[in-house]
Amino acid sequence: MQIDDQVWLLGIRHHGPGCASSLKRALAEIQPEAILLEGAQELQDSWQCCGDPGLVPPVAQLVYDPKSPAEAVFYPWAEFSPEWQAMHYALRTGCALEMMDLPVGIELERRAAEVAKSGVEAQEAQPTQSPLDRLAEAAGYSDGESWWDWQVEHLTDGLALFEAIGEAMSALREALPEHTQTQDLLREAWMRRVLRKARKTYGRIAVVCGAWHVPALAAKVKVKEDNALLKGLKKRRVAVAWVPYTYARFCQGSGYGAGIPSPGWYAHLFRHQQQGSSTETLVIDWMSRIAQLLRREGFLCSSAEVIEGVRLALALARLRGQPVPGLRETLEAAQSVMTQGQGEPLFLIQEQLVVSNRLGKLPPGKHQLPLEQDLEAQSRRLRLHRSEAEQVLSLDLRKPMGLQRSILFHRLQALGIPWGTPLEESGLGTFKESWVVQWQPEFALALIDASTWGSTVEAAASQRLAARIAAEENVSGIADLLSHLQAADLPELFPKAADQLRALAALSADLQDLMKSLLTLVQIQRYGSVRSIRGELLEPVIEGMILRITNGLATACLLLDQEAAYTMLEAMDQAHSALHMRERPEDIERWLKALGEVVAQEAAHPVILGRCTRRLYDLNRLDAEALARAFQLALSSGNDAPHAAAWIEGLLYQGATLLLYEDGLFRFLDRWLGDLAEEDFLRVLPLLRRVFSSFSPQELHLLGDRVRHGSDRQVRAARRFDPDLQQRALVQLRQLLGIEPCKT
Amino acid sequence: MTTVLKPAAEVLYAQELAALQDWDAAHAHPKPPRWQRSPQAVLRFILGGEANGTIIRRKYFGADREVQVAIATLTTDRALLLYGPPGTGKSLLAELLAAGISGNSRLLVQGTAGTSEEKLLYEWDYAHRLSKGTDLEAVVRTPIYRAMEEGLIARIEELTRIPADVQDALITILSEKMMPLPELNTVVLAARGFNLIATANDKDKGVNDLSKALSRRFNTVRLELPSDRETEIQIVQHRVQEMAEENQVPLPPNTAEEIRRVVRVFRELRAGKAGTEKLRKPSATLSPAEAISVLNQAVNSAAYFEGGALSAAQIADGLEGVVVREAEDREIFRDYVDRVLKTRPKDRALEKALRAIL
Repeated sequence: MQIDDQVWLLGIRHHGPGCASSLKRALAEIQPEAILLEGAQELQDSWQCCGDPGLVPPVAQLVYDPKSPAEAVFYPWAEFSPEWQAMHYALRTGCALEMMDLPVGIELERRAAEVAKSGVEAQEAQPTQSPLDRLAEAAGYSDGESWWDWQVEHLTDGLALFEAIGEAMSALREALPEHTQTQDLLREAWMRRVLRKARKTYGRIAVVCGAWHVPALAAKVKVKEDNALLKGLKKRRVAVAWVPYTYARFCQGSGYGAGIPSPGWYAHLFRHQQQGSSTETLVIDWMSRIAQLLRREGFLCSSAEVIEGVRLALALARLRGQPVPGLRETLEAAQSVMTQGQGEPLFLIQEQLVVSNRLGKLPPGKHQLPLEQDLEAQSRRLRLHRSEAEQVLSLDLRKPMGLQRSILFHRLQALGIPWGTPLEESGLGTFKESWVVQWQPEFALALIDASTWGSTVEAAASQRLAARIAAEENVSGIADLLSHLQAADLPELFPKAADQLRALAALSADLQDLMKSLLTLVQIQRYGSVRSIRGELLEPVIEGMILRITNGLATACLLLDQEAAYTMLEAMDQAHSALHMRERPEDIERWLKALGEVVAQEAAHPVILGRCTRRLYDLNRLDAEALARAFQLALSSGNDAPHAAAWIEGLLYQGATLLLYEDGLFRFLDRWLGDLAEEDFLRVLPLLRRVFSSFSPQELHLLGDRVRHGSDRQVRAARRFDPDLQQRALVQLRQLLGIEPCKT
Repeated sequence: MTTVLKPAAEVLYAQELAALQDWDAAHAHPKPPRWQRSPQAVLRFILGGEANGTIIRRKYFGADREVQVAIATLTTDRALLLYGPPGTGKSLLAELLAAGISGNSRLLVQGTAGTSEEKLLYEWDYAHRLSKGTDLEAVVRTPIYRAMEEGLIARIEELTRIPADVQDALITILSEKMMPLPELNTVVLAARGFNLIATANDKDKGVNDLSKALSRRFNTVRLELPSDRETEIQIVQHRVQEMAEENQVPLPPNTAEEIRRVVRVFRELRAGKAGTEKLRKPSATLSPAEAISVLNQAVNSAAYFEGGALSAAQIADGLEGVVVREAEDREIFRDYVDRVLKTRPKDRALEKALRAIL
């Protein structure tokens, strides 16, 4: 909208392809001396980088408070953003470009003040219906989005379009004053001030701003009024960084205010508008893309169907009185022609098609935080690409490349940047690690956050973990941190963490916590060499912990209810494997003694008693006879049925071998089950089912066999020895091994 | 008042169709070859509106975009397949489309398990063949044959009930737009304007899926059960009212209220939940068509037997008839009455009536 012979107000929709195309034309017509762009003042010194070779949109400029990087504002730009086109026009023609919006520093200060005042993030009540919807309604469209698409984004009109937009917005703002918020008023006052100043400096001025602000900038407002509004605003120092961006973040769902639902489609539209292609080409190109994506998902989709899809989309647009098929028409046509009317296959490709997972790029090395540069250098060296597609990476830790990659992923994890997430808890005992690798644009923000900890990945991770070690209050927490240190190859923190561990372990009253941590610690000690970590620092701590565990175990097992007993059991299992891994006979001896004490006092939960009995038997502290006695005792009529069932659960852990080969046990169990009253049987059934379901199919088969044929069969089968058969087998074997020549 | 039980759509709405034709002429709307009305006019005929001062009633509810896709499909000379569960108005839409486009909705082949190729393509008049020899006169023309000759819309109802090999006889017609008559060494070429609308459903028992070759030759429009309650109520209301007018019975004053009640019961049973309560689903589709039949039955019996308002007992009878299809449906329905209806004071009468018969 032209206000006088000096100023043109070009109201746009952020990220509207039609707006971008029209803006390009309009600027060429106006040939302005200066462009005023709706972008925070702080962007003034950095927008020029948009022309750098190697910078590929979508990208964003991030304005943030270096002291608290979480407070930040994104200014995302795509190729089809009118702002992007305006910036490029300025670079190309050398006309001046000024960022005219209220500084982010003021906005952040204002928000903080509001939070301080009310205690919560103040949300101005927003009317539910968007103003565009009202216009659309008047024009007979179902929603503002599609109306705007038709009226604006499909046109490449140039100046005339902006006249119309200006008029429509004036009418809207007059009719709907409730849609204007305090923040808008402040910003508009600021923009008017910038415009006034620019009038004095430049000749022809093109103002590129959100359509909504056009009437406010056209309005004649007294300087005094604006000054009054802008008086006494505090401003913070902020920093600006360029970050890569994705189309997905342009979507409304991602919570960015000026979001658009279909960036993929907009990019397509813009490309064709720029090429000046015909409607048919636009639709054909899009339909073939749909077909390609469908084929990739495994649907048959012939060229004939693409042709019919295009025809239907065009016919549908004609029927709906639209000049060009829109996104909806193309999708509906594809659904009708390509997927036999089913919507689901299209849902599958929706994300890639309509949103598109395109990720922007920045030229390496420039306009980046030091931490980011370090990460970039490392990923280049380790040949890791920031791809948004999910990828599984298998690393061999014996090779330097694998180890270095693993270390980098671990360090980034410590910084809260899960570029790689370990596929499974592979533990430290293996040379292989699998990672799911997926870069997310949010990491750009996390990197800024992390940069407060240091300027290289290593330094930042080290600082971050040091802080966590100091703040940790649990033994298991420290143990986890230790293993993290090991994986992230930060040995310098090791002594500090070991000290903290010693202090905590000495004071901890939580035996379960100690037992759970033991496994982690022993693993670190045992496999530390892979990662060049000195595990011996841990030795005294571990010894102390084992002493405390074995001394306290019997007492700790007392007075536990069902749930507590099971967590205790889990902890005991972990301690057991830890001690096994350690392979120190004296420790195992101590442990078995403690288990013996638990069994002896008979007051622990039956599931624990059963398990302890089993451990003692496995390690030859109980012979078969003693085991049978314990079994009989547990199953005796003095104990109620669930008690006995829990005991059995504890005993029969990890397979049915015991039952299969200890004939006595099988018979006891059989008789016990047979003698149960129906009511008791029903009570223990779920428990027993749980135990038996953990057996392998083969074991179950053998057990079933025994049940069917009585318990003696196995014994008899084993005894029926056939010397003749053996002889024949031996002869064959000798021949095979070449001990005896073949008889032919 | 016509004496015909169910007049064809082009007869019933003759006035509207004529008005739409005038509207087309007045605005010089372009028409595809042999179409009596422009695509816009056909759209308006189905979704309602106004043409040169004549009010066009809305005849199809709740799937406006699908109707648009259907009409657009027919303008591209591709055949149209209306797919969906029973009772979603596929046949109604097909009839309206044929009436709107060709002014003739009666070129219809009903698909059944016994439909043969002869019923789809052509048959022979054997008396004629024996007495006068095999010539074109001996050919008995099927509705599809005639539609091809005259450039009209033919309809096939329940395409998926037809045995799969017979279905495939349509492939030549759809892709080559002709029908060979090898006995006479000639072909019937489809006149411009010919097209085919088929309806099919995938949820019923005993249906034969379309072969890939055949389904590729159709544009498919899926019509689903109405997703929101208000649309469903609108559909039922519209149809019940229309049928009452056709049968010349008065509409009881509490009809609107009972429609809401029945639709709610249907939707809850269909979704298998009422509020937070999880329910088992009965085997019946419980489509709007069935809701319409429940209410229509109740309206008629109110008019002839009870005099005045719709009674809970009438509604309950109808409900039981459509919901209980298999033995266990009865238990499911009783469960619904016990757990859901019982908690609603407003449904007390219906609850009682249902309890008496379940």
